Amino acid sequence: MTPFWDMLNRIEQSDVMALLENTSAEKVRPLIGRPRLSEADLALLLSKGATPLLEEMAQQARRITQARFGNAVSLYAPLYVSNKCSGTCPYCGFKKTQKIKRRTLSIDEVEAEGEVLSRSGIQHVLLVTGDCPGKGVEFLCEAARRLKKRFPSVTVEIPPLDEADYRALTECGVDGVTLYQETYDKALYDELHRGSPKDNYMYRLDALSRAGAAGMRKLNLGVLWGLSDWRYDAFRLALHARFLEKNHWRSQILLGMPRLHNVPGDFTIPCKVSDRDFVHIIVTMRLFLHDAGIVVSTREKPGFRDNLLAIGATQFSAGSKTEPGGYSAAERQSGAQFEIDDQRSPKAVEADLARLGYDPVFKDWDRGFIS
Amino acid sequence: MSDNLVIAGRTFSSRLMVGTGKFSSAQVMKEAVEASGAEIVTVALRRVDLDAPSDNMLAALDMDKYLVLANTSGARDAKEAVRLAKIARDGGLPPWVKIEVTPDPRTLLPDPVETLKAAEELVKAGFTVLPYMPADPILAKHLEEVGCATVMPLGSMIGSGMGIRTRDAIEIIIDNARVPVVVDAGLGLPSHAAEAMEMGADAVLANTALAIARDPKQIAEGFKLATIAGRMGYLSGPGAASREARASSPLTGFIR
Amino acid sequence: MNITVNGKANQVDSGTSIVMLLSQYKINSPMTIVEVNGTVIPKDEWESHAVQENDQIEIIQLMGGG
Repeated sequence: MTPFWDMLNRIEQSDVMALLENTSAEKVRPLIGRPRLSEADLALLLSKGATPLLEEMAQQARRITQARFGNAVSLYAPLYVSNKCSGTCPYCGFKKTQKIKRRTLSIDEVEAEGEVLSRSGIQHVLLVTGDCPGKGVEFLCEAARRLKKRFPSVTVEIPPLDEADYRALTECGVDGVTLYQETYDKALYDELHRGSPKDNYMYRLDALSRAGAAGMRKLNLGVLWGLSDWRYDAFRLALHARFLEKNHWRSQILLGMPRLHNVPGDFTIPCKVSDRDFVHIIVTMRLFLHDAGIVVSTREKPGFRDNLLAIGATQFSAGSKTEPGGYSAAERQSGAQFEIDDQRSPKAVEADLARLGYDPVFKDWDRGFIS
Repeated sequence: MSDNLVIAGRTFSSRLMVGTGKFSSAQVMKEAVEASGAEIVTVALRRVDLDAPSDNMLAALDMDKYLVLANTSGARDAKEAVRLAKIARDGGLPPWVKIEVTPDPRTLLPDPVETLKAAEELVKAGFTVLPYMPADPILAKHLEEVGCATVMPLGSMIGSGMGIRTRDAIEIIIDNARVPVVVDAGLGLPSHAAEAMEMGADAVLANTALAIARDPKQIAEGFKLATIAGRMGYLSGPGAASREARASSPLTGFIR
Repeated sequence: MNITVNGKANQVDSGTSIVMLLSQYKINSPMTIVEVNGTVIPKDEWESHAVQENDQIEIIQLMGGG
């Protein structure tokens, strides 16, 4: 199977990339209603030429989202195992140089966190670890086994693994893997992650293919918006998603949409993504990928976030705590990865969504009854 | 930039494949095949009728000019298809095979189960396999996974000339395919070939439409031109987009 | 000698080669494949390959096909 990198290089050497610099709305307008879009169409839809057509694109994105997902919005919450990290990623609240209270949960503490979290109604938990020593596959498998007692769906957001490790995780009940490439711009990626355990761009790029080959049901890829020019990263992200859809057709593909807002003091966001640009990305992803889930986290404010549901978003995190032990502790005792802009509890989110005419889904699938 | 068709690493400039069956004579068939510009030509295997060893229809064809692709028509299951493919290879043909398992003689519809079985076995036996198949997107992925070099979904029943009656399924197959998609069977007119190519198919295969036309040579050229035209239509990105009313409440008003 | 060709019983003299057998049936097309007891005999051995008692012979031809 030719790896994604070869396909990406082939496209980047073609004249398609120039279309990302298009400024003519007339070149973009006929693409909006077209059901099947090519790579060239994708580039044009992401170009400046599309800016005046955002409303029309949003209308089409809503029609597609309605057709594919109806009004359902699935809810989940992250469970951070540790905020200890040997990484030095400049944009991250957990980076080694960050002066925060560090904590790593034991297996029992993970289970206790899960117990508290499940009482809030959440039924899909995302287990999150950074490049944290000692929290390898055995720990994750044991954590998954325990969490499966309360959560029909357990997914993980962990550093890239080999196929065998991903298979071990599927066998102990993990349904999905989230792994963001951060940026597809290899030169920038290498610069941002030089010397950190995360410095292997290629190993990370093919990780979701390994997870797909291992039978992982959900593959969640993404870009950390703000690191690089969003038009180029959105173009590559969409191609990566379509590559995964073609090569791992039994898996559901989802796109995470983490946007950099509040970052460590010593880091300035290189290419800040405005609300308009963020909407432009989500709408175009929906036009190009009719069936991909689009996940919006609590990094986004409630009012803004709820509006994204109309134009493509299909999954929300709710009541999130981004510090280990956050759910059990009355008030925060350790450093969080990022500030939460949507402080609503899962039940509050559920009520708001129902009021807006959406159908909040806590549990959308359960392996229990088939295996 | 050349827009060649590549199958199993081998390059072809023509995206039209033709069959050699049902023609009125060897000479008519030869002229039609040449007029079609096809580089891949399919043939069948049959026991010789000892009482009437008719002059061979293919004798007129310059076999070196084409990739001669044996099909396994006549096979009713995987076992028979594998046997036919091996006889063709041992008899001197290239190790390429168009799997055709059509147990029902009335409809000649391809048997999905036996086709997949035959495909898996023939790939393991070293063949480049091009399976004629029902227009089923999931079966297409299974055939890809066992190593087929292309998938060949039907447009409509063999010889029916009804054109593409499986459009939605073929679109999904094309969108999800990692191997070339050849629309085969039921193409009755050049416009059917153009339609398949405009949808994004990588190639088309026609036989009956050429053989039973009043002027096979002319329609063969028509199919050639239509295949090229359809491909050009697809590559250039058609302009028309459906215009739909603008909804009342703007969706992006919330953006500051 | 008793042999079966394309499912029909037949009598041939011993020492009959494939080439002789084909000419008996007036088959001369280049598109012919001969299989004896399940094994295809390459063309360059048709001259030398002698038919044996109770051989099951299949004479197959490439024909027009879709």
